[in-house]
Amino acid sequence: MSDKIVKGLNITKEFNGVPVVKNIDFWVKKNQFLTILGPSGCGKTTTLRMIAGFETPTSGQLFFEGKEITNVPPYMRQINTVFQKYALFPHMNIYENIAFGLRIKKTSEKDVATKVAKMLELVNLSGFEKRSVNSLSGGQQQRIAIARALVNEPKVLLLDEPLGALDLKLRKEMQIELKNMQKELGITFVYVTHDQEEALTMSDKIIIMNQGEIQQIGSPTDIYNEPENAFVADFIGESNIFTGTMLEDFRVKFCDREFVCVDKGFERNEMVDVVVRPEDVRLVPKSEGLLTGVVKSVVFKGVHYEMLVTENDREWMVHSTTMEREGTEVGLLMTPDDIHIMCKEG
Amino acid sequence: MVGKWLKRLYTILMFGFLYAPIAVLAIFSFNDSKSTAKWGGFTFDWYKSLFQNDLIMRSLYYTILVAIIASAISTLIGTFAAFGLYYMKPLKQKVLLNVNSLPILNPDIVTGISLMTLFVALNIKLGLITMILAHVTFCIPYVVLSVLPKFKQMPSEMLEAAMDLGATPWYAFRKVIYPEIKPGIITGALIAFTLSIDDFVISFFNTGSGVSNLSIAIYSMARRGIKPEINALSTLMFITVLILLLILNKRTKIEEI
Amino acid sequence: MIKRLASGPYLFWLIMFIIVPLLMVFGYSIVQTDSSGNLSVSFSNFARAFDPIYITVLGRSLKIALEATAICLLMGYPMAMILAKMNVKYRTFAVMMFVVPMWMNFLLRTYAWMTILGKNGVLNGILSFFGLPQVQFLYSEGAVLLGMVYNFLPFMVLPIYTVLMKMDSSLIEAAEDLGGNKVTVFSKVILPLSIPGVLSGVSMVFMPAVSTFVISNLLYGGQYMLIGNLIEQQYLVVNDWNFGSAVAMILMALILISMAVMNKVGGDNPEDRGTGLW
Repeated sequence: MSDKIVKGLNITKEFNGVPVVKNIDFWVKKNQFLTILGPSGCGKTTTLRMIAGFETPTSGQLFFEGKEITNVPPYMRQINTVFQKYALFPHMNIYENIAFGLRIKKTSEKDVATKVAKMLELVNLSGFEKRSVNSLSGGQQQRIAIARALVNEPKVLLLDEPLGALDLKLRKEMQIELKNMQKELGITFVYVTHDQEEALTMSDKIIIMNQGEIQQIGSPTDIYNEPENAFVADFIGESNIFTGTMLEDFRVKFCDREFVCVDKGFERNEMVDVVVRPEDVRLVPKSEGLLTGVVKSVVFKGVHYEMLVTENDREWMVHSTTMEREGTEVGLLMTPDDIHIMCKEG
Repeated sequence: MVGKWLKRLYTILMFGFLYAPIAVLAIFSFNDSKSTAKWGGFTFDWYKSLFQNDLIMRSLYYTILVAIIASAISTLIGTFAAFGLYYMKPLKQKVLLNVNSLPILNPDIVTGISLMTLFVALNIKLGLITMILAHVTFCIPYVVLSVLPKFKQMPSEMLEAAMDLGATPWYAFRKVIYPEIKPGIITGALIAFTLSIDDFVISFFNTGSGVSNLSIAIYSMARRGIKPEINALSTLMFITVLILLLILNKRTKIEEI
Repeated sequence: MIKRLASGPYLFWLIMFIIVPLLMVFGYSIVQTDSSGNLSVSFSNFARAFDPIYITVLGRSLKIALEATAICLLMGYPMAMILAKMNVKYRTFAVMMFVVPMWMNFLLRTYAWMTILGKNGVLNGILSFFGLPQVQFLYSEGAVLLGMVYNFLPFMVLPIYTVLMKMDSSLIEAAEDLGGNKVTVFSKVILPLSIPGVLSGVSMVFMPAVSTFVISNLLYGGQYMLIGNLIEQQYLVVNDWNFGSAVAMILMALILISMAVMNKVGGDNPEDRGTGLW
């Protein structure tokens, strides 16, 4: 119990009567890197803003170290935020930006100087004290925003899509840096993103949200390998999703054919979603496949080829290191444990 | 080549048109004759009698007094209004901004008589107070319109970022928001001040006996015909405006660099 | 909470000093007092405004305001273009010199023309110097028109200048590159793109011109009745506030409607208006 630093109970948030977050429960453990992942408009940012204190839940309770903070204003929470667009104060130089929180706490000028210097070193921007905000690149501004938040020694750091505005290469670098920082400093991170790859590489735990509801909570491996529903499967990596019928335990019918699978415990003839990951489908000569189709398009993706195969009127996405020509008739093959069965949504 | 000379000629004609009347006033302010048709020798007499003219001196005092008070009040109210408007729901903001633009779009005479109607109905004696109230009314919208864009230009989440770092809302306003919107506030205050100094129509309907600003004084004097003191006054005002603008221009240039 | 508190005084002010007074004027305009002092709701004030005498006044106001606007546009557009194309070295100064007269008191600017046009004025002085007969320039419709053009010309030039300055020069280059000669480039690119500036200039000239009573009072004398004079007289001389209010409502409707129409036509952003001043 005590290691749950932030906890939300039955949290609902409505804007003008429209629910954006619907009765969710969640918790963040101390020193955890938690990511809230979901498409835009899923309520992830609103959830983060409630933890920060910028929004008050319409109903439900928020706890911080066991104490209720539902109605505590943001400036009285030991939580700091790194904003999506950095929100650095343009009329202050870098030093004053980082010192902002310390000055409110009436820190002595000597301590301010030491702490700011330490922070700048942490984010590899020593010597930038006198620079103006506008003279910095996006990546540098991002680091300053992180330094400005961390200098207050928050117990929880909230990050709202902090890498969204950076280019791909910089984003990859920052992902690693952020993760290292979190480990070194031992601070709890709550990270919001819509980038599933980012979530999978950085997080200890992921909360997947859609339309204001939590779809799944779990470790990156759990979520990737055992998505709880078709939404999660589709959102985490690309997937082929088909509607099927569970004939009996270990036997499912989809794409007009019966397959053997490893799932059980469904009702007889229950409608289910069947998920097959593109990398789990093998292209074999026509006669050896469980299904047959025609290669419709081929795109080279660097490490693999992405092919679309038309099977009857359905489309399959297949990832493979070997290429088949467009128009080739092929067989599709998958093993029973490549076939994931999940309950229909709703 | 011809085009270039045509342009120069046109520019000269236009500036001539703009400045000829002012030049005429300036020249005749030194004319030792009441007539503007002939030159009767050089004199400073009109300047002397201008400074001895009780009506004009009193009006000058009231003009400046009203302008200072009205621009101060309207800047204060307008700045906080812009702050409130910025965080308001879009629909409510839109409605208020439409009402805000009424005194700007409405002819001055309509604003003037409507305020007069109000003051008479409330049984407030027309005079200094009503004039200040009227000036504040037509200044506020301009202050709002010059401060609000500064809020909109402000990087988003400024207020939240400050509060996140432990600042109370008031501290955040002083340390983060105020420095960002300061140029807008100064512009707004300057607009309010100039509008107030320059106003005639609204003041005309909302002032009472004994209290008049320069515009009203000039109007009542001009209606009775040509007064050489007014020529002297115009010349002084022109020089003041010119110097002020030159200073302002210098200052903005330095800031640009 | 604080956000709401901040706009409190403003809300009060809007309601108390903008909405309520306008409603009161509206109230006056639809009320009539009969001989025994009883009040009744009636549209007779509006009906009276359509009396031929007052229709003439309204027509005259519209005509002279439109004339002033057209002259300002014809004189101002070329000036705005010249200013916009001027060498940067002189431009700031030239624009400033254009603004200076605008900062002079409006009454003084109008008064200046009294000195020039008057019976013993400068123009007549020049005429008599050459032995020519005296002419009555002042107290004519032309004098009023001149006064309007003189007073409001900068309001036409500045918005057009601002739009022309903001115009992306690569658009003009593109048009030239595509083979447009000077006339085509102007009529197909520059002019259409400057329409927002023209519209805001037009409204900034037309609006004060149609509602003025100062210019007509000073440069024409008491008899020349524009709609502004009519309102002023009803309020301050005749003391018939009901009729004065009705005329004021008509003027207000006229202006708000023409503004709305112009905004529709131009898709013009009111915040752009007059930015050239600062």
